[in-house]
Amino acid sequence: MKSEANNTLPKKQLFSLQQDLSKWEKATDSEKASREEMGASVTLFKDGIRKLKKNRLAMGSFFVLVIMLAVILFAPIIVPYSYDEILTINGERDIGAQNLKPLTFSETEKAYIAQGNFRFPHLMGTDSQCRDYFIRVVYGTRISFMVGIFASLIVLIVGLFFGSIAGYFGGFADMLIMRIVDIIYSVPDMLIIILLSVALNESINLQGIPVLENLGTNMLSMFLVFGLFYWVSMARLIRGQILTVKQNDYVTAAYNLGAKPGWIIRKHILPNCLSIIIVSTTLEIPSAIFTESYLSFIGLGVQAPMPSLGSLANTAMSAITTYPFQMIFPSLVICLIVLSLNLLGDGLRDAFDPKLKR
Amino acid sequence: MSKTIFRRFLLSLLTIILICTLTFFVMHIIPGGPFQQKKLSDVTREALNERYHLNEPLITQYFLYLKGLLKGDLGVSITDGRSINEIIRLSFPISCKLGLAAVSLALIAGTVFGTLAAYQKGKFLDKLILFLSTFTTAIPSFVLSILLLFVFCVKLKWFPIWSIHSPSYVLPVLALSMYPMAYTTRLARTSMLEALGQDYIRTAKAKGLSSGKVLFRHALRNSLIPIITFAGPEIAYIVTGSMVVESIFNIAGIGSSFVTAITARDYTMIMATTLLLAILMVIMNLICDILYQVIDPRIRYD
Amino acid sequence: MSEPVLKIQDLSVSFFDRAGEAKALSGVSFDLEKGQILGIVGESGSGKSVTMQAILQILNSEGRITGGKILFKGEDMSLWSPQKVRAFRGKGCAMIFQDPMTSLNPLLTIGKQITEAVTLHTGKRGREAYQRAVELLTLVGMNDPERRMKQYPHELSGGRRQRIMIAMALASEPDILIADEPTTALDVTVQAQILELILEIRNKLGMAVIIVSHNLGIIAEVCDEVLVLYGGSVCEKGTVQDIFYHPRHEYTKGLLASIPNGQSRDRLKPIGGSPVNVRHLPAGCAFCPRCEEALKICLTDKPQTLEVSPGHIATCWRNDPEYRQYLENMGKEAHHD
Repeated sequence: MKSEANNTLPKKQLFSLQQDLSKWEKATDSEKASREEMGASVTLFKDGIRKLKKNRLAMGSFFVLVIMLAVILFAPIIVPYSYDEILTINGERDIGAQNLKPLTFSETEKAYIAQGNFRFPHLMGTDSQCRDYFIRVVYGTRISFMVGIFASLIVLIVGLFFGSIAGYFGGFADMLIMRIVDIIYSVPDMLIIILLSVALNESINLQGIPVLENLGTNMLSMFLVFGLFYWVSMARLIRGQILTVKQNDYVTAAYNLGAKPGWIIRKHILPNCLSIIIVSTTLEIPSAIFTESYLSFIGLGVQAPMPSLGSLANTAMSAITTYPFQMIFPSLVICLIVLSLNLLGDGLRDAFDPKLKR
Repeated sequence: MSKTIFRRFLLSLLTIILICTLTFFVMHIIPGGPFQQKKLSDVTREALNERYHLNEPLITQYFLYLKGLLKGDLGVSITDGRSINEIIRLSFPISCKLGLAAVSLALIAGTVFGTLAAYQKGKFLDKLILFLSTFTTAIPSFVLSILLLFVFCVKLKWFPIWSIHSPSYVLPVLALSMYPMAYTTRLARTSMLEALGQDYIRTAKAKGLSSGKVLFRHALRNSLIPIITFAGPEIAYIVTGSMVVESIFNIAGIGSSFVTAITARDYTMIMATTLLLAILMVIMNLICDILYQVIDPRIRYD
Repeated sequence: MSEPVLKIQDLSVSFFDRAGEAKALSGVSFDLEKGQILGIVGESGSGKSVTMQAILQILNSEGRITGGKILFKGEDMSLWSPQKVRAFRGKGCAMIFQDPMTSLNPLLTIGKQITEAVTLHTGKRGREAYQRAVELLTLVGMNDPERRMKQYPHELSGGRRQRIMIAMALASEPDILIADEPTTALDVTVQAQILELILEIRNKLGMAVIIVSHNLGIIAEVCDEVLVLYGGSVCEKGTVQDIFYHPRHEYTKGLLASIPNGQSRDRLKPIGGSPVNVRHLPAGCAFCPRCEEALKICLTDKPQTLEVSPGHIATCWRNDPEYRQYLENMGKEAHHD
């Protein structure tokens, strides 16, 4: 090549000025490339994780949630009380252990300890029925988390199903689903939950069905309503996302090359919808927890004696002036869960999907 | 324009019919009808069954029920026998006052805070507003209500406890509007930031307009559109939120009578109130939709 | 020669964000005479639009002028009060933008948006302002101007909207009209109409015009002088003749080789590589990594700006007299062999 000839020619010259003149030689490609600083290429996922790690609020929330999950998983193993257990000492009911302040013991318990026995401290005191409040709050948190996660899973599955049908197949199916979505959008969901709870309470017997038996009909109707009504925004999101992805040329190309619908959905459409799905599911959990606590408050929450954070707060309300701690603990936990999940969800959204801003 | 509104109107009508039907049939899931499990005398039950045509076939009952609704007759409460129309006539104005005040406060204050934050983006005020609004959206309405009641009514005694004769709406309105206000703030902030980043804002600046005019004439109007679309869900939130707030502050509004009805399993009352509130929400949504189309000329002419 | 309307001296602009500093402009200078049409050419990210935003001082919050001066009719703009800067926008220098679809406020009628500018700069109000707006619409060749006044932007085609933008810019009879990619978003036939309109208005009102574009065809058609930007610095500046027929910078040559001329059936020659990242400007010439003729010195030293012929300047080591000398010697050596 010409440039090589140019490059080699001056080297034969052994002038003393060569050093000075070499600057006029042509630069080689590798020399040029070394001058060009290139940003290292990273995958979308790695880039998202990197951004998420930089977001201190989201990371903080993540750790708060991890700690909370650890506590609700392990506390029942460590704490020797159970959520519906009325405190007893040597098999006798401890009447004095009513509405104890956090980290205090009743007279009987003090005497028991004075005898050299060990008594596990009541971290959050006790309630009006002489039950350890800490373990009740732990179980309440468990229930709230469970309800939140289960409800958002229902929303995810139903929404994903209808959203992808509407988005992928279009045409009549899309039209029908979107009309239904329109109608459901204007139905006041909370009122329907209340209505269903009231009606189901009288008509359904959940005896013998595991989990639901403990949660009660109110939770069943809440899940029902989530499955029937709350999926619409998820379905809309997914449909919109699929329509956008479908318009991309690489999907058309795959289709034209004879790819099957299932393959296109798995290889092209789902990966592109994933971030949106994860983010909105994360943000759905706090909203479900809110709904549960709200229902508990108006008397339609989980079935007694199973505690939920909402029902604990509701019970504590009547004695707020005398035993404010019983109100503060569950309320604080709700706020903390919802705040952390919201911040984490926002962080995830910013990290993985900058387009998706609300 | 009229075509879209007409379509919206039809949809709303359909939703209302759907809600009426749903309410009717859900209430009839209860075995033996709504009056079976109440401790009523046979005569009363018979009278009630007669009154509600409960001995007729279900489908006939359904149409009779729709006919009654069209006449505006909501029946009587089964716990105290009072006419539900009467209960609503007394409690509805109170709830309306509370709700309207809360909606206005949430929308106006939220928009102002959000706009301020967007205008001061990245500065201290923005961070403060963002922090407070994020924090507020994590507090359940009943916790907030109790907190306000406990601190300002019970401890500090700044406000009297609510009674029908000396109604004090300050705290309930505050408790009810906090969450939607925080939400509106966040929404207003993002939509204002988006509006400020638009090309036409650059045009307006290049024209030589003062920053105030750019903000109020050009950006605000555009940033209001998403806020108006949120007004529908906001009203739904206020309606459901009012149940909690009214019960806690002991306000004799429709929300607290609804909660009382739920605890007392007063079916006719639950049914009537659900219907009323649902229809109210649907109509409010319809109004918001129309308003939205009036403000945005792009939709008007499409 | 009278004093230039606008004199840019060694202007530097940087954008600062969390990731650091991005040097969008590093030492750009040029003059704009009254009635002159100056074209500014460059790829995306070369600093064309930033230059214009710096002149109007509408850089976004992360952008800052880090050096140099902008002189409007001999006055240093950095010393102006915010009020004076605002009066300068529109009155001294009006701007039309790339995308007429998004540059007009969708919620206000055409009439409102034009009269707003009229009122602001001429003090005319009500009926008077309305009349002036109708006049302006007629001036930019809109048919049925009275009806247009009542319409919303989305009811008009792209070309019509760009005319509206021009009418709005003319409301104050500015000394300078900046057109930032005025035709990029428009159909080819409409492009020609808009360019013609700009020329016509320049002839009528005698203002100076800056046209920013990456389309060399447009520049060749309407401009008197051309400024070529790359990576925030001036590569070359000269008359249209100079730039198109005697380019003295490799980047300009590359640009010219990459446009079809409609006659030769040769393959088009694209410029290899990707535009320089202004966050990491190389030590030497910014274009060097993509330059086929790059020399060793280009890697390490910034080239000097040299006047290669009267009014024609270029910033390239290959114009350096020392290099010319070196080439001559090499030629002799080659002959000896």
